[in-house]
Amino acid sequence: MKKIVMAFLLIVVLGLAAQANTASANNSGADQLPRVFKTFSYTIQD
Amino acid sequence: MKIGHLIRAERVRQDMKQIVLAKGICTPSYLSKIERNQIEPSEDITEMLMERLGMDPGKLQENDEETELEFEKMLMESYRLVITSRDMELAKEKIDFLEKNSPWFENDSLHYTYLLILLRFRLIVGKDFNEMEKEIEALSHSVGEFDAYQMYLFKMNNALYYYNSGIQKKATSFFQEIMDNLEKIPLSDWEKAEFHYTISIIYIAEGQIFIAIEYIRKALDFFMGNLMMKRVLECYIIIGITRKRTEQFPEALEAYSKAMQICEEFNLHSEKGIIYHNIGSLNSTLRNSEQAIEYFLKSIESKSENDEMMITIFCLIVEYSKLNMKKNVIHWAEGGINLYHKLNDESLISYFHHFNFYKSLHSEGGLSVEIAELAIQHFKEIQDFRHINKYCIALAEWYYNNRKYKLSSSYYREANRYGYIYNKVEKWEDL
Repeated sequence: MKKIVMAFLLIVVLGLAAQANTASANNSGADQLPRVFKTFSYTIQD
Repeated sequence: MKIGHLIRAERVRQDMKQIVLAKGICTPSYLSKIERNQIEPSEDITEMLMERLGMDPGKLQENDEETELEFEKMLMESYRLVITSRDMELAKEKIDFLEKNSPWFENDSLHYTYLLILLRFRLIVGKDFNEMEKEIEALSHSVGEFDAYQMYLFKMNNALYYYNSGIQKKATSFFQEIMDNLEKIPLSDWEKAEFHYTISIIYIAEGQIFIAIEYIRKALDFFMGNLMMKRVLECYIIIGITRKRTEQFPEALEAYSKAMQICEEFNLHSEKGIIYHNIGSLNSTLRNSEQAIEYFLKSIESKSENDEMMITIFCLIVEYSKLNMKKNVIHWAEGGINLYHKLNDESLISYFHHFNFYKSLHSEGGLSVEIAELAIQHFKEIQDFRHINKYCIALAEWYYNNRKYKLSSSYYREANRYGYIYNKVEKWEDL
């Protein structure tokens, strides 16, 4: 029982940290740059 | 006739050893001297060497100032036309013409310029990267004989080749070398503007927004002054992106509006798709999902090139997912997967994993662990830390909601680990 509670708490902490990482980068909305030529991949996502 | 530079370039390009080429014709050391133009071989030897390399001796052009000047003029004009128009079909046409109609010049300098420009055109068309690698290798043997302009072309080809191959570090070091010597290179104004334009895009891709702004302004000044409106429009798109990334959102919208205005005024309707996409992306950042969706849909409608739709379909799916509109997610993810198979282009494989992940996540059965792990593995292979981070979180949450706490915690840990790498943080204390 104690193990399960510990695991649960660990997940909550880890989960929050993982999401904080993502949020701080403000990543939503991938931009599309004009490209110089076809193979030159100018489609970028942060 | 001195033909060493021609023999060497072709031999290296064909990946043939000196000993193989020389066999039965001359000694390898004699061939080596020929290749360095230290001796002039006899006509017989010249013919035999060229024949073994599949070169037509009838195309040999002795030093003749008038012919050389004429050819150089044609070559440079083709180069300017292809680079400024950025028309792939034109590039293909010019490659065909130059390959069929170019003499083998005894003038080694002109031959180097010819090879460098031809390689640039091949990079534009983008077929057969292995072949291009060989050409770069062949040219690298001659760098000691390049003048400042040829050196610029060589470094630019290298930079574009490595950028295209995803080897960013090497690409950046070549760009940097060009930048360090830019004032010493005899570049015409149009070519300088092209360079500024390209470098600004590279800097944006690397997240160095402020330097990117500096260069795109320089390029914009030139294009504006020369009324190259399609290029002006593209500069405004880039300016919009730099504004968005520095969180100047109204200014970003203003730049996109200017780009749109140019589309309307100069009948550049084919460019609307990319502008709509970026306005959608701006709305997504501002958390206006409904409006973002509206613009992404307009973008897809306006885009004529199928491969350009992939990024917009992906963004659209992300917005639908944020609103938990499951049917729409699945509809567009399936559409995207079909398009991926239709395009049959391996470079788009990341989209396949994105689409598959979202489709699975919103399906009735819920996220397939197999699909999620495949996607995470793929992004690990291409070192896309951001998406490893994202998809590990999604999988961890999936496990958590299904009460598989041990698996959940291991994926949260994995997500954190890659989140740190993505954010260039080593320890949690640094956050």
